[in-house]
Amino acid sequence: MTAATPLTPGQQPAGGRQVLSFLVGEQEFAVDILKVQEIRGKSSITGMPRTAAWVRGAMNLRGNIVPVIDVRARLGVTDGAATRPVIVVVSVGPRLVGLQVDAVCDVIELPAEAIEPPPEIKRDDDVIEALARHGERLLVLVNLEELIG
Amino acid sequence: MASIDFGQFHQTFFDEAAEHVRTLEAKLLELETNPDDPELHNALFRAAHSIKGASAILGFEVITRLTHAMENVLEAVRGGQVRADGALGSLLLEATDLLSGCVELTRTQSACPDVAPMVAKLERVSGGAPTQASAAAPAAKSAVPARWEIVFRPSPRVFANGLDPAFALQDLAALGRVEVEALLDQVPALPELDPESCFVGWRVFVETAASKKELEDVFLFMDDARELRISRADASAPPPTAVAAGEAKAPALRKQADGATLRVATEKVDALINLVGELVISQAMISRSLSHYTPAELPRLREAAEQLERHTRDLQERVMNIRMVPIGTIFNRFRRLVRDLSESLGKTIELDVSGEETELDKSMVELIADPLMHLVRNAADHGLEAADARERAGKPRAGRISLGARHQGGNVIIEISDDGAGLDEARILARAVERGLVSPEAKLLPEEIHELIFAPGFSTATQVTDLSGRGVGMDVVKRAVSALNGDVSISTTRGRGTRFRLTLPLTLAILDGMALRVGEATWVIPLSQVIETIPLKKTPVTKLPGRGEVIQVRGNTLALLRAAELLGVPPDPDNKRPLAVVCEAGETRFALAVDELLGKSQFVIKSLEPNFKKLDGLLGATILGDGAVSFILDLMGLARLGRLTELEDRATGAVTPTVFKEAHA
Repeated sequence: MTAATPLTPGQQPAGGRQVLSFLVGEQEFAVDILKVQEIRGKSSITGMPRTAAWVRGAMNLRGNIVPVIDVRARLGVTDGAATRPVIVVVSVGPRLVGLQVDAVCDVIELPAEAIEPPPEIKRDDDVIEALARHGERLLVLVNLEELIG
Repeated sequence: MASIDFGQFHQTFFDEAAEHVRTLEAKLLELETNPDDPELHNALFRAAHSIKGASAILGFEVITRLTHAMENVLEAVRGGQVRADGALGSLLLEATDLLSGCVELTRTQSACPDVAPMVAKLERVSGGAPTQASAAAPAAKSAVPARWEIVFRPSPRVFANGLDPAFALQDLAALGRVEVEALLDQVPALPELDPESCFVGWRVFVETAASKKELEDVFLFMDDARELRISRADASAPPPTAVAAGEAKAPALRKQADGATLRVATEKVDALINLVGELVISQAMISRSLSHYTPAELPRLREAAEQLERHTRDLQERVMNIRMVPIGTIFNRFRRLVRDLSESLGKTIELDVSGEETELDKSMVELIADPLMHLVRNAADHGLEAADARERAGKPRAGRISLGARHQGGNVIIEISDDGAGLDEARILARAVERGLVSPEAKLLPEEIHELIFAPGFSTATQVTDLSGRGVGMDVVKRAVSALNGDVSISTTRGRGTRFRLTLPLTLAILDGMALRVGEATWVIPLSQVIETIPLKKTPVTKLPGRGEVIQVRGNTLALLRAAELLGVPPDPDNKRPLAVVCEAGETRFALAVDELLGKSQFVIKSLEPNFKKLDGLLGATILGDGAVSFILDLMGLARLGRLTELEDRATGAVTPTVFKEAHA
C-alpha cells in the first residue's frame, strides 16, 4: 500500500489513529474521526419516553430521526456543565447517533506508541477503549458501541 | 467478434423469470380444476418456453435443462398425448418450485441443486427423452409431405413487442421447402408510413411433413397477429380452418408487481414529472415574492403558497398511488399454500378469494404476507375439522377457507374465515390457565377468552404437526399487524367457524393523526383510533384502590390511563383543562388523559429504525412544522403497558376485566 492510497472508512493511518477529541466536564475524550459524520451546534431535541436517563432524546437530522445521548449523564460526569453543548453525530454500524458533549476540541493524529490499553479495572459496560497521551494531555478513547448501548 | 456484456440483461431475466414462474404456478393451480383447457396449456407452455429461451441465451444451463424438460411435458399436454391429471400437476408444481429455487440461486450466484432427478421424472412423462419425442413425430410425418398455405399478417406493433416476423419465415423454411410472397397491399403511401409499424404480410407455401400444430407453433408468440390462416394447399386438403388471431388465445398475461422493482405506467410517471414542474414554478414564485417583498406582494405570495399547497397535495397523492398494488399478488400465493396444506393435512379444502383487486401500499403487501399466511395455515390446521368430523357435524366434507379484501374508509379490511369448528373457549381457557396466563378462578368474557390466543406462547393444537410447532403463534400475527398500525379482531361461532379481520391503513408512509400535548412535548396518535374527547374536569374519576382509575363515558366504565405517567414525562401541573381521549386500540377501549389537543393533520411517518432499538409504545416519529421531532404513540402498545400489571393480577385471581391497572413507567 502506498502513502497515496486513500483511506477507506474504518481504516486508519498505518500504526497510529486520527481522532476527534471533545470535552465532557474536565476530561478530554476522543473518538475515531472516521466514525464522525458531522458536528451540530444548537439543535431542537425532543425527549423520549421510557428510555435510559442518559438518552437525551431525538433530533431531526435532515429528515432522519437520530437519538441523542447525553455523554455527561452516560459517563456519570458531574463537574462543570457546559452552557452551550455540541452534538457530535457518529455512525456506528447501521446506526446514526448524536453524542451531546460540552465542547469539541481537536482533530489529533495519534501515533501508535501514544496509545495504551486502559487500566486493568474492568467494568461491565466498559466504554473506555484505550488511553492516549498527546503532549501534556491524556485522552480517553471511547468505545462507541458500548457507549451507545 | 466483440463479446457482449450480458450483465445488464441478467436483472431483466430474473425479473421476467420470476414473473413466468408465478404464471406457471398460478396456471398449474388453475389446471387442477380445468385440466383440459387449451388456453392454460398454451399459457404454461409459453411461460416455460420463455424462461428456457432466455436462460439459454444467458448461459444458465441448469435452468435451461429444467425448463426444457418442463416444456416437453407441457408440449405433450398441449398435443393431447398426456393428460394433465392431478399427479402431473403436482409433478409440474414441484418442478416449478425447483425452478423458482434455481432462478433465485442463480440470481444470488449460488450453486443450483441437482435438477437431474426432476428432469428424469419429467422425461418419463413426456414419453422419454426429448429426442424420442421428436422421433415420434417423424413417424407421423414420414407419411406424405403436405403442401400448406399460410397467410400471415403480423400486428403493426410486432416490432415494438421485440419480435421479428422474419424469424417466423426462417422457422417455416426450416420445416420444409417454402415459397414466400410478400403481401404489400396494406402498405400505406410514403407520407403516411410509420417506419416503426409493420404493414407487410406474407403468403407462404410450405411443403413439409410437419403437422399443422407444428406450423401453428411457429407463430406462437405472435398471437396478436392481424391475420393468420394455415390451410392445406394440396388436393387432399381438409377444409381450411382459420385460427382467428387474438381471439382464441388468452389475453396478454396480467403483469404483477413484486420483488424489489416496481413497474409503473409511463403515464403515471409523466404526470408526476408535470406536477414536479408545477411545484418548481410555485416555489420560484414564492422565492421571487420574498426576495423583493413589499406589502403589495402579499396577495401574490398568498396565492403562490396556496398553489404550492395544492401541488404538494397532488404530488403526495400521486406518489402514493404509484406504490399501490393489488393484494391479489399475495392472495395468489395462498392458492398454492392451501393446496399444499390440503395435501399434507389430508383435508379437502376449498379456497374462496374475493377482492384481489383491492389496492394497498406495496411495502404493506409484502409485510402482511407472512401474518396472512400464518392465519391461512392456522385456519387449515386448527380451524377446519377432519372430513369425518365435518360429516358428523352435518357439514360438507370439504372445508372452506375464504379470503377477502376490501376498502373501508381509509382502511383496507382483510378477512380470513373458515367454516370449521370455531374457537373452543373451554379449551383455550384451560390452556391459558395451564400456561399461567390467567388464574383458574378468573371470570372472562368470551371475547377476552378469544383474545388469549394472541398471548405469546399460546397454542391449542394438541398435536405437533409440521404446520404448528414452528415456534410462531398468533402473537406474532398480532404484533406484525400492530407494527403496521393495524389491528386484528376475531369473531367465532362454535361449530360454525372463525373469522379473523385485519384492519390496515392504506399506506405506511402517511398517518392521519391527532397532535396532542402531554407535559411540554407534542405527541401524535393515529386518528383512526380516536373515538371522542371528553373534558376531564366535568367527568368524575374513580380511583380503584391498587387498580388505577376509571371514568364513566356514556354508561361505559373505561380505564383511564395517564399519558404523562406512561410516557414518563412530568405532567403539566397548571393545566386548567385536562382532557381524556377515548381510544380504541384492538378490542380495547380506554381513555387517555392528556393536557391539550393540538389538532388533526397528516403526518409523515419516519421510521425509528435502525437508529433506535425497538421502543414500546411508539409507532414511529414525525417531524412537525417547526422541524422538531415528535413521537407517534402506539395506542395498542400503551394499552399493553397499562395492562401488564393487570395480567399479573389475573394470575393471582382478582380481576375486573375491563379495568386496567396503570403502568408504573
